[in-house]
Amino acid sequence: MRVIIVDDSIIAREGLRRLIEAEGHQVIEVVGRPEHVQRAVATGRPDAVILDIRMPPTYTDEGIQVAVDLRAVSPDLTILVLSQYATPEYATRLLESGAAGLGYLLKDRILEPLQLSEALRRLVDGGTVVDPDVVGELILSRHGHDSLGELSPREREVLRLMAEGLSDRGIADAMFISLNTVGTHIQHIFRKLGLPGSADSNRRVLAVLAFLQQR
Amino acid sequence: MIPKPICCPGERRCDDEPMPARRRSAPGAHRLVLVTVLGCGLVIFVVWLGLAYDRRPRPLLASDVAIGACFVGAGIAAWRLRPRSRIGVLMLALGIDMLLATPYGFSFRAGAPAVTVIDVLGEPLYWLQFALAGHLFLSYPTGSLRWTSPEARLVAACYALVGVTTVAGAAVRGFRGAASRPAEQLNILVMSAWIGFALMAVLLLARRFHRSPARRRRQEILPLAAAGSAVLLFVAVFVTTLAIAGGSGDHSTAVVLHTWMAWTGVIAVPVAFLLGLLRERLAFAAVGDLVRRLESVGPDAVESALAQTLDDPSLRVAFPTDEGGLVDLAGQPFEPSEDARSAHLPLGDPPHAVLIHDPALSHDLELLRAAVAAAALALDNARLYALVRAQLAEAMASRQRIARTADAERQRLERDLHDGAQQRLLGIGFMLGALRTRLQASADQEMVADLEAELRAAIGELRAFAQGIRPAVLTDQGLAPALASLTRQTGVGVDLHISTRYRLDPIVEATAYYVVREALQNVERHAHDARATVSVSHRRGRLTIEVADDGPGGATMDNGTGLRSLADRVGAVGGQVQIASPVGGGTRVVAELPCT
Repeated sequence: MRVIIVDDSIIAREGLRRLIEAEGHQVIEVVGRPEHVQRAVATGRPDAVILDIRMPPTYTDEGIQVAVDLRAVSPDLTILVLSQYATPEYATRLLESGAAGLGYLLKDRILEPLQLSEALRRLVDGGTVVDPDVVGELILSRHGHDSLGELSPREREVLRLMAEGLSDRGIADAMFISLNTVGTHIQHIFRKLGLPGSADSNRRVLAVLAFLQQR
Repeated sequence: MIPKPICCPGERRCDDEPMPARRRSAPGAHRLVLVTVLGCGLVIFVVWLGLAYDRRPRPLLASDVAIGACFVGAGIAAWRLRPRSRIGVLMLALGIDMLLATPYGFSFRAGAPAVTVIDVLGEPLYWLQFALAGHLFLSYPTGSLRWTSPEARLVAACYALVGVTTVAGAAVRGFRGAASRPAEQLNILVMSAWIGFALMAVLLLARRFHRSPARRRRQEILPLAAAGSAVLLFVAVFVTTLAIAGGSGDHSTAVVLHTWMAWTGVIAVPVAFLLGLLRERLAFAAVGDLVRRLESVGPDAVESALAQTLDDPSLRVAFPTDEGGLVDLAGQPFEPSEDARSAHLPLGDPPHAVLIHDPALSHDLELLRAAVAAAALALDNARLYALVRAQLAEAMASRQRIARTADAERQRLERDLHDGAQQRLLGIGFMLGALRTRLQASADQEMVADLEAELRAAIGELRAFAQGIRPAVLTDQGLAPALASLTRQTGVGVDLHISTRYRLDPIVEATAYYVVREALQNVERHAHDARATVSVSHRRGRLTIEVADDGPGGATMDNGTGLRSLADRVGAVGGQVQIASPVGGGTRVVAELPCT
């Protein structure tokens, strides 16, 4: 895949480049400042953009705005946003502008072999990726009227994988069950939690994440 | 800072004018007796003359003599009681002049030797009355006028007119005769000039009243109004004289007006002066009240008690600090305003207190000093009180500064870790990943994979360490997301209610976060199965954080719950903590932080 890297830290940029190239992809351009991204994407026409969330001037969440702006120009562009700490709020804000082809991962996640390629593949196929740590923190919190308690352990697992952005196929593969079973579980989950039903795996990511955050 | 001087009439601002250089002392007993005797003698003499030669109705004679006597008496009293002011001398002069001029209106046998004297002197003495009266009215209450003021010029013009009239009159009468046309014309001219001067005097009196500040107006309204009326009556007298009698002045209307004018003049100065004395007496009595009142109230009340006694609502008391500034009663820094709306009076040398008051109060310097003396002990107490409070405020401010610096330091530290060490480790991780794919032997690849795992662990630890210093969520996104993350991660079930989605002062956010973190840690440690509720609300400049649980309770400041250090942290930013933890009844920690 042809990839553009956006990160203002030289160390991170170069490291990422080596990693990406080592996993067999091509880095067509490396961008250090958010102002230069649009032009690089327009001229380079990459398959995916990998961008760090913290950038000048405030070094907090500029990356989200850059991703949103890029998607406004090219709605089909695959974007993977990397962050150094897990923040569910950033994930939901990012996915609000349409979840297909958008991903949010922790930087140390991609240190694991082939996690990056896996994520990129899922994204380019039109899926969504949300870092399991982000989802995990959301699911683990114990709340009063815990409707999650009504779910069976398998249903809870399906919920978790849905929140991570996996498609029905992805969930079936991960849990070694059939697609039909996955569908049934999902129906039960949506009914028990009172979520508006949606077959589209991208839209439901946002619904599930939002639900988990607001508990 | 010198005390503001007594303001003089004829000048609106007299900040730069010192007290009159010559301080007249009270006349000695001998002089007073002499003058009193002379005054009485004069009165008796005039009465005797009048009884013999005055053809006018007796009440008129009585009235004239009484008026003169009033001025003499008031003049002597003022001279004795207010030696600093020239009013006494002026009133005395006017009274004597009036008495001496009274015989001018008697009907003497023509040709008697004394008659010539009276005739010659009578005219200037007559006109001099008006000049003296004008001088008196325009310079009340100090009796002094600045050379350059319009009042002084008018008074000088009046005296000059008297002189000119005397000389010209003598000349005309001498060369052309007393009843001649030129004499009449001169008379008319002189009267017209006096009318003009009188109208100008009324204008000046009105201007003075208009310009004087509220406090002085109350005291001046009587003398100024009476003086103005007297002058207007004077104008009326001369106008009717001119219009009707063609200059002879015997018409009864003119006489009546003349009498009214004179008595109004008496009210204007002597009576007003005596009323002023009475008012001062009452004010001094109020000082006695002040002493009694101060005995029963605390140091806070010194300022309001003084303000009430001196009838100056704007009165403030301030105390000099060692650093050279001023603090008020509450220990807060005090900035004295430099404009003319307030006067400063330092008390003591070197000053232990400063009185900031309405400049008109400088009029009543004796009263001011008496009140200050009466309040001396209370002022001293108040000073100590204020200085202690100031020190306390400084200690609290210092504590706040320390807390802020520490928090800023923590932010910087977390940032440095995040941007520095963590980035580097990630960079190393990426390179290791790249290296791994280049290696052929699986044993080598495994070794690198192990290295990567160690590195991930190290990154995780570093991240947790940085979060412990100051969570990045708190710095980047604010209190609500940070608390959301915290309550998710804690091992206890938490209901979070927070409505403030906007950013607050970083030190406030950090303190609130630590309060919740500490409280939840307690719940986890001592009441593991309980549920907790965290509520944060921002209302009327205060942020309220409440953490309540339904555990076993029994938490106090000192039994290993870390609540004391929590209270210290909250106190350092000016907030308060309340803990309610009855045994068996759950625990409730409420912290309130000032937060604009």
